[in-house]
Parts: sequence; structure tokens; C-alpha cells
Amino acid sequence: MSTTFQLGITSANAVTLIPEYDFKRPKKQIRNEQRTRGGKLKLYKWGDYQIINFSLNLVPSSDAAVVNSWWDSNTELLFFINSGTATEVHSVMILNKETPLAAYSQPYNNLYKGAIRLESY
Amino acid sequence: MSYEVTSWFVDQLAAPASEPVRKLFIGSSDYSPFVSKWPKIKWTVNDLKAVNPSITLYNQDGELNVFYENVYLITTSADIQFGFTHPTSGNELITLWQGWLKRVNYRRGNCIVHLEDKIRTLGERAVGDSKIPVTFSTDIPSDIANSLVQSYGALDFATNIDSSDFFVWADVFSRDTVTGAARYDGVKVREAISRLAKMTDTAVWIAGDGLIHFKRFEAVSSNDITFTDNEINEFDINLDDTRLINKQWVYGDYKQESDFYNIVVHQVSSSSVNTYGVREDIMRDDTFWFADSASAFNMASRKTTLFHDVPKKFNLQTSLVGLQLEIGDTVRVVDPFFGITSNDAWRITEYNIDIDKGVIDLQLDEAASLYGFILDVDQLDGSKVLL
Repeated sequence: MSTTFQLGITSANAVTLIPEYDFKRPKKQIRNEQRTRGGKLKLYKWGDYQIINFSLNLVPSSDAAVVNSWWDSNTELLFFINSGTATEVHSVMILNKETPLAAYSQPYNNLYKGAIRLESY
Repeated sequence: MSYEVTSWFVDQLAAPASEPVRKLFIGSSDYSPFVSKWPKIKWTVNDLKAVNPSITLYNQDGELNVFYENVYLITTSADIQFGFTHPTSGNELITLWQGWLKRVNYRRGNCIVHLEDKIRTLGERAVGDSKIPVTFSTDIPSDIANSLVQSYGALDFATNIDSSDFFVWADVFSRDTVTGAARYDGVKVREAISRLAKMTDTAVWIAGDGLIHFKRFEAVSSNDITFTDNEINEFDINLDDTRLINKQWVYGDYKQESDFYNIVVHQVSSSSVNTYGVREDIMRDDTFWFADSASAFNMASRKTTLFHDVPKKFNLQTSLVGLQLEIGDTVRVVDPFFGITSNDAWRITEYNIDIDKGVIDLQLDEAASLYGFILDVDQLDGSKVLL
């Protein structure tokens, strides 16, 4: 069974998304590194957060409108990654600098494309 | 006095990787999640200075408008804690700083809280006035300091002064029968304490426990942390001959009505004079002075003992390995290039922690590490005692 991806305020109103192959979900650490004169390492991790990046293509206008409205209102969302055997849930916000799904997927004028950047909060 | 921590805490400090925890409490509320940048805090024994950190908190969502809406919250107690989370027993934290919230600014979506320690209180209150000055005659200096803090600074002994350090400090004067006198006609309590401390070569500071420490640095501790290249990030040495003193003058028995000092003593280190030429210093104050020549000579001898050679000062940067130390503690340093071995101890006279990065800068002073001091009473009968 293939993996499915959904984004929503709850699982009941989630939008199903189909990320392109550039899907990435790195974790970023907030930390400080020091090297002593003798070469010893001192690493202090103050925290970390999840980043999820992917491109989208051929997104229906209704889904695009909902996603763009969540971005516009800085809504706290849940991102579900369901691999069939287990579901990961990440508490995220859409942190794009511009409207995430603002361009048409050529040659259509009712399907949208764009990129989404999600970060945990 | 080092912080008291468990061996597990010490292990975390020494570990190559760890996950420290930082906490900002205002009242009983934890504001740590809102902190955008943790402050640097600096303590020094070189001057009685308030340690007043300012911390920027995120307020884009308006959650911190509470201070604007409830202005009575501005005077709440505050503290900054630092430590680690034990996997089973929870947080083990030390209190790095204690005081009060005094000012709040809102700017560009942020809330900036300005914290102040109790030295501010001592800077707001005056001792005596020109019509009715406050005088002390023939008291040991620690009794005068105690009165300044309690009676005029309105800070009670039990909850504001570190008693163990205070009694050790007081004993120094009792042992040598050092007495002083004072006259205050409106100086602030903070300035009065600062000038008394300078005249008695005393270090005064507020530690992370919120207590005022009085200390005359004497015998070094045997239970010291040793800094080697494995603990030192940066290390530099400062040799400053302007600190050299080989002829110390001390004035005492001040007469306010005639603006005259009845006692003037001096001590000379002849070998230092032969090496460097005469380097004189004068200790003279019209708010606190020594009441007899023996006490004045005691101080003069101490200064020339400490400063007859160019004192060495180290600036050492380290990681959180130095977290459990406080100013006034002694440490050992090993540097093969300069031939510095762990046989010598160095007193921490400045302690600067960057809480945001986990970096600690220490100033270590050779002149504050006195390997015992004995008053040479034979000198008192010589020509060095005048008037």
C-alpha cells in the first residue's frame, strides 16, 4: 500500500495532497558547538523542530483555496503521513513567504501548482 | 562557593553532547518558551555592581500583553535557572540569577523584560543626612557592613546575606583586631558598602542564590576544578604593571570637622622597589577609615604582599564545564606552553555566562589568591607608623 499525505485542522477536514518526488522532511537542531584547544567537542542542543518541504502539481482549486486560507490565517494544522501500517502526525504551520498554491498547472486554469513548507511549532 | 549539584549533573557538564534546560520564571509562571534570546550575565568582585539582565520575549500573538493589562505584575519576583532533565527524576536546575521584574517594553512584536537584583534597592536608600549623619566609632568593619545592609538597606540578614561567608569574613577582622569608623551624611547604601569594601579589600557580590556575599580572599581551596586544553576554548594572559603596588599608604582616624586624618601609615616592599621603582597607592576615604594604626598597617601590609610583583591575570573561555563555579571560587589551570601547572590556584574575579550559547568567560586573578597572610607585629613599632 502506498503512503498517503493529508493536511488539515483535524483528520475529518483534512485535504489529501500528492507531493512531488522532491518531498523532504528533515529535522533542524537549535544548538551550539564549541571546540576546545585540545580538540574536544562540546555540543549543546537546545531544541529541534521538524521541517517538511514538497512541491505540488495539479491541485484542485477547492483544495488550493483551503490550503491558501490556512496559510493566510496562520492556522495550526496537523500533517498526516499514513504508510498503511502506521500514521505519523506532525503539528505544523504553513511557513511559506508567499501564497503556497498561486500558479496554474499548465494548460489548466482550474488546477494549481506550488510548493509547501511546513514547520513544527 | 560552588553550586551544590549531583554527580549526574557534573557528568552532563563534562559530556561531549548534552541537552541543557533554561528556565525564566516571573512569579511562578514559566516564560521560557517565549524567550527569543537568552541574556549574558556578568558578575564581578571588582566593583559592587547590580546584575540586571534584559530578556527579549516573543509577543506576536499577544500572550504577553498581561503586563500591560495588569501593571501590578511589574515588581514580581523573577529568576533564571539552568540545568538538565534527568531521565527519571526530572529537572535538576541551579538558580543563576534572582531578583525582580522592574520594567517592561513592548516593541516590534516583542516584549522586553528588564530584571533587577537587590543591589538596586541598596542604590535607592541613603544613610544619614548632612544635619543628622550616621556615625560608627571603633567597630569591626563587618558590623558596620551588617548595619548598612540591614538598618539602612532594609534587607534582613537571614534572607539576604550569605551567613557562612559573612562570619568567615567577620572572623578575619576579629582575629587581627581590625577596627574601623564611619560617617555617612547622605551617601547611598550601595556606595557606602562599596567604599567600605574597597578600604578593607573585600569582595562583595550577589550570587545566583540571591544572597549578598562578603569575602576577603585568603586561603585557596584544595577541591578545585582543573582546566586543561580539553576544557579551555580560549586563553589569554594579561600582565599589567599599573596594578603594581610596592608602597601602600593608608589613612585613618579621620576628623570630619577639620578634614584631617590623624593616622597615616605606609608599608614598603623593598625588593619590589629595587626591581620596579616606587609604585605608590593611597587608600583614603572620608566615609570609612581605620580607627587605629595597627588596623591601617594591617591593610597596608596586605596590599604590598598581594601586589609587590606584577600580578598575572588570565581570561579563560570555557563551555558549561564551568557552570557550577561562582566568583570567589578558585580553579587550577594547566598550560604547558607557559609552564602553568596545577600546583597554583587562581581566583575567579569575574564570571560571564552567555546563556544563549552555553559559553562561560572567567577572569582569574593571581592577586586574589593569597596563600595565607600574617600580620608582622614587629613592624608596628618602627618608623613606619606616623603621627
